[in-house]
Amino acid sequence: MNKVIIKTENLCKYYNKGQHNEVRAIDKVNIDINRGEFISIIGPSGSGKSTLLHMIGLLDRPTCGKIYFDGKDISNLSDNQITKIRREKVGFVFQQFNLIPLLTALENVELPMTINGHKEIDTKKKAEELLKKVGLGHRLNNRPPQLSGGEKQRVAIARALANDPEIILADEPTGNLDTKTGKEIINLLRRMDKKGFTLAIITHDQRIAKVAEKVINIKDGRIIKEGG
Amino acid sequence: MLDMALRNVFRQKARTALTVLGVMIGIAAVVALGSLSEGLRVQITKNLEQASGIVTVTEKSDQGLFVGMTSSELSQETVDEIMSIDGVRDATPVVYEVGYLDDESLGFGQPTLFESGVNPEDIELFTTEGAILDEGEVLEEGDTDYAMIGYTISEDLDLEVGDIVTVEERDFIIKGVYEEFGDPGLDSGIIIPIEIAQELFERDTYSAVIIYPEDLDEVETLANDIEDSIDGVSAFTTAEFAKQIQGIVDQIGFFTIGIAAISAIVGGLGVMNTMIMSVMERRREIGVLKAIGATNSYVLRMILIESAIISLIGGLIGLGIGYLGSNALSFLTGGQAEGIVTIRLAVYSLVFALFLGIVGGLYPANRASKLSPVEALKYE
Repeated sequence: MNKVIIKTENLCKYYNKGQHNEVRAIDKVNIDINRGEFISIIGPSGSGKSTLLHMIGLLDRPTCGKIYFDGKDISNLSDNQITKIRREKVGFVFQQFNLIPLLTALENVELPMTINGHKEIDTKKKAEELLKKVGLGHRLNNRPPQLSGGEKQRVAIARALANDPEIILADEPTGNLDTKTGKEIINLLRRMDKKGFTLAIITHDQRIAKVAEKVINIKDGRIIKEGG
Repeated sequence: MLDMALRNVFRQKARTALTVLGVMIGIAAVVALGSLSEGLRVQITKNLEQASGIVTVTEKSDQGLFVGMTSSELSQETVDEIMSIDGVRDATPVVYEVGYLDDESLGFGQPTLFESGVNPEDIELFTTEGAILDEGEVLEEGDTDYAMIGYTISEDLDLEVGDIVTVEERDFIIKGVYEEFGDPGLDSGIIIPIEIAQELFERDTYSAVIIYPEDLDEVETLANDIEDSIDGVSAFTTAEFAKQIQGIVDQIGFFTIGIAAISAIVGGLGVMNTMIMSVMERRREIGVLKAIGATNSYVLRMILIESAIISLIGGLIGLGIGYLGSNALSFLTGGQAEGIVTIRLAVYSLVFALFLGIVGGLYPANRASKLSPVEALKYE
C-alpha cells in the first residue's frame, strides 16, 4: 500500500488542442494526495477544479501527463479497467446529488454494489447499514423526489461509500444546500474521513477550506497555491 | 438490472404503450396472415395424403399440374397408348373443366365449380377410392341424364338427390351426393359421364388420365416410363404434385408474411425511436451510472433489455390479437380460409419481435454506452 494514493505528473486537459480556440482547462498540474488526507480544492468558477477532480477520480482522461493511482500508472488502461478501479476505489458526491429518481434511497445505495456484482455481499443489508450511518434509517424506501436536499446528499454519501472506496471525491457537495445543512454534510463527510479514507472536496466555502488538512488553490488551470 | 429496466420502460407510460402498439400491430399481422398460410398448407397436405400413389398424365406442360390440367388436350390415341403401358393396374381418362357458380357470394377468386367427365364404371378411380356417398347412388353406364355432386355444391345450391342441376345449359338429374371429402375438386365438383362432358364442352380430347400403378413403390418409375415412351405428355405423381403445391403455398406464405413483416419492422423502428428519446432524456442518469462504476457494456445491456422488454410485450399482445384475428378471418370467410396458429408460428413471431427490439435497441444502446460520463453529467 502506497502512502500516496493519487499522484499526477504534468497533468493537463486541453480542449481543441492546437487550434486557435484551444482551452487549457488543466495545465501541467502536479499534485500528491496522501492516503487518509482531507484536502480541499478551491478556485473561481471555470478555474478547472472540476476537471481536475474528474481526472483524479478516473471519470475523465487527461490530454497529456500521467496519473498514478495507488502507485500504478493508469494512462494506458482500457476503459473497462479504469471503470473497475473507479467502481471499487472511488466514491463520488456531486453538487446536484445525482440520485436515480426511479429508485428508492435504499436501491440507490445498493446500485454500486449491484453493478460491482459481488454476489456474496448482502447488498440490501449493507445499504441499510450505510443509510443508518448517515442518519437516514427512517427514509429507506423513499424516492429522491420525496427527500429534502440534505437528505438527498446523505443518500449520495451513503452511495459513495457502498463499495468501500479508498477515496471520496466531492464536487461542491454543499453548493445546493443552506448553510446549516451544508455544515451537517461536511461534518458527516469528515466523520467518515476519520475512518481512514481520503477525502477531496471542491468548494467555494472558505470555512470548509479552513478545516481541510491541505488546500489546493487553482486558477486558470494551474495551481497557484498549495498548503495546509 | 431487469427490475430497473422494467421500471425505466414504464416511466413514460403513454410513449411505451404507443411503441408497444406499433410492434403489436405488426406481429398480429404476421401471426394472422402466417396462420392462414399454415392452414392452407395443412389443408393441402391432408388432401394429398388422400390421393397418394396416383400418376396423373396430362399434355406436356411446364406450368405444373394445376394450370396444365385445365388446358390439356390428350387425343384418343395418346390415351390408349398411356393406358397400355406396363405397370398400370387401372387407368381412366377424365375431362375436366373449371367454372364459377353464378352465385359469387363466396368472394374468393378460386374456381368454385369443378366439372368432371368420367366413365361411370371408373368413378371410384376418379374419387381416389376414398369418397363416401351421402345419399343416392353412383352413376352407371347409360346414365346420360344424371350427375353426381359434391358436398359443397349440394350445400351452397341446396340440392339433393332427384333435383336438377344445369351444366352448360343442359339439365342433369342428381343421382348421388358425396359426403364432405376435404378436396375442393370433389366437394365443389359435378361428375357427369365422360362422353356427355365431351359433347358439352365440344371436344373429342381428354384432359388427363388417372393411373393406379401395380406396385405403389414404383410410382415414380412408372411416371418416368410414361414420359420417356410417349411424346408430348407430362406425368405427375402426388409427390411432385405436393412439391409444386407446397411451392405455391410457400410463395403465398412468404408474400403475405413479408407484407406483415414490413409493418412489424416499422414497429421496430418505433422501438428505436423511443429508445433514442429515452436515452437522450436520461443522459444525466447514464452519466451517474458510469460515475458509480457501470461499464459501457452494462449500459449497453441495460438499454437493450429495455427495448427487448418493449418489443416482447408488443409481440405477446400481438400474438394474442393475431390468434383472435386468425379465428375471426376463418369465421368471416365461412371456413374457406382456415387459420392455424402453430407453435412454430407463435415462437417465430415472438423471436421476430425480440429480434426487432434488439436490433432497434442497438443504435441507442450503443450511443448510450459510448457517452462520456463527464459530458453526460453536465447535461441538465
